[in-house]
Amino acid sequence: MKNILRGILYIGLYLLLVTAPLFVLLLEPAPEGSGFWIDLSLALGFAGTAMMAVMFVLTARFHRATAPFGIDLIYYFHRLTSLTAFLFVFAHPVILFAEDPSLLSFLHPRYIPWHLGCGVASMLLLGVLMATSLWRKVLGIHYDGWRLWHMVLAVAALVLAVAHISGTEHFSAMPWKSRLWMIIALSCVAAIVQVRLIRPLQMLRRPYKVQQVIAERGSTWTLVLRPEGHGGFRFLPGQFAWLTLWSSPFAMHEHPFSISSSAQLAGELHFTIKELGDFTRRVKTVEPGTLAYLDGPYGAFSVDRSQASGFVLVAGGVGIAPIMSMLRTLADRGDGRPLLLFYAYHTWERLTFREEIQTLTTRLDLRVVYVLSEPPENWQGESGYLREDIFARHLPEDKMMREYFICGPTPMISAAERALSRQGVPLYKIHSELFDLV
Amino acid sequence: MRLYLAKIVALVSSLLLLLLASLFAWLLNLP
Repeated sequence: MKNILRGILYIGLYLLLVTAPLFVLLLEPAPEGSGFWIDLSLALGFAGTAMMAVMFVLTARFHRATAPFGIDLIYYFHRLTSLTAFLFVFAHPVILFAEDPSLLSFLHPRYIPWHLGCGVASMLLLGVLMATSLWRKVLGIHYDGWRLWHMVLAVAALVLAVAHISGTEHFSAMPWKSRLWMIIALSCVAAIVQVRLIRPLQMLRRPYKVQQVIAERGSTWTLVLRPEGHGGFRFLPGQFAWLTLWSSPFAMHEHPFSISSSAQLAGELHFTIKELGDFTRRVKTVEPGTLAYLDGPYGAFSVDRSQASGFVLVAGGVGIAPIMSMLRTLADRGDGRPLLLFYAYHTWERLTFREEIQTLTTRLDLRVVYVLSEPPENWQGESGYLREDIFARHLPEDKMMREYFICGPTPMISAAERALSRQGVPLYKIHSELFDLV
Repeated sequence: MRLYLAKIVALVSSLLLLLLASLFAWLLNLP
């Protein structure tokens, strides 16, 4: 309940922050009207810029603000609203020039005023920012390089946008309103300083050391980390952390991974990582003794946030990692609540944690339904993809009393949520963790 | 549930901003 109230408070605060600049502009002395379409164009420019500015705070990983939602959802929201912010900003010149085509003459490279140049440059940078974010993989841009340029482009686009606003004579008669944009820009820079300087400094003081690299089934590896000279951190089973290997925490070479070990296990953290990209393919080569840095824990995906009488867990592929943390923790605590696990994977041979899950069925009241997309011959279990009829066959009688935790690729999560909802499971009982943060 | 929540908040906040931007333009141009 406390988290729901806090969530509502932060949603309200977000709405207030993105709308505040427009409200402030309406305060007396209000600027003179220049015609509905021209003023709508200006207002959309302001609204888009305000949304962009709030993105900096949203993605600064403030524990308190992200806790009610989970940081994965904040990034998902960031992706959704960035598109709207870009459309608003883009609509600003389009409406302006459509309403008064004579204004196009100001764009001549020789005569362009400096503040208009800033606006055009900001617009172009935003275009590059959007294109490289939406089509990063298609364009073959490396994740680490993309992250650095994403931040640089975002800061440059915002600074240029604020310079554009400040230089526009339309509002220069109200210097304090113009100054408001400077404050907004400085707040964004402060958020960057927090996440890129202060937090890495804290991480540098609390290093971890790789103890072991364990080969799992399915091209998957478990990194075992131990804190060096400090007590580590406590986490809830199902949470994740940003992991930095082979470089300084200032280098921005960090990647989010779920913690797969038990929350009851003191002084040791396990991260189970599947070979999927440039970084994850190198994980198997990590030498024991290598220094690692962690920023975490993050995420709202945890059985510990629920008081349900039982759980239904749904894992797709390496989405099993946070689910394993939950199962291991519940087993270590001697939890007797009934558990049902749906585990979707390609093949039986590559099924990560197959043996340990079997062992856990003896320590927990756990039933497992494997769903294989490429089942072996004579497979008696479920096959294909996770579908509604599979849930219908296996969901327990007390399905309305259980809480549901789904982790895997986004399409699988959406399909499982829809299927469970059609089976009568209320949406508020379904929790999910998004893996595709970027 | 969470994805729906994110989509709803994103949609509502975007529509609210669009509405507010129109209101802003309308108010400034009142005779």
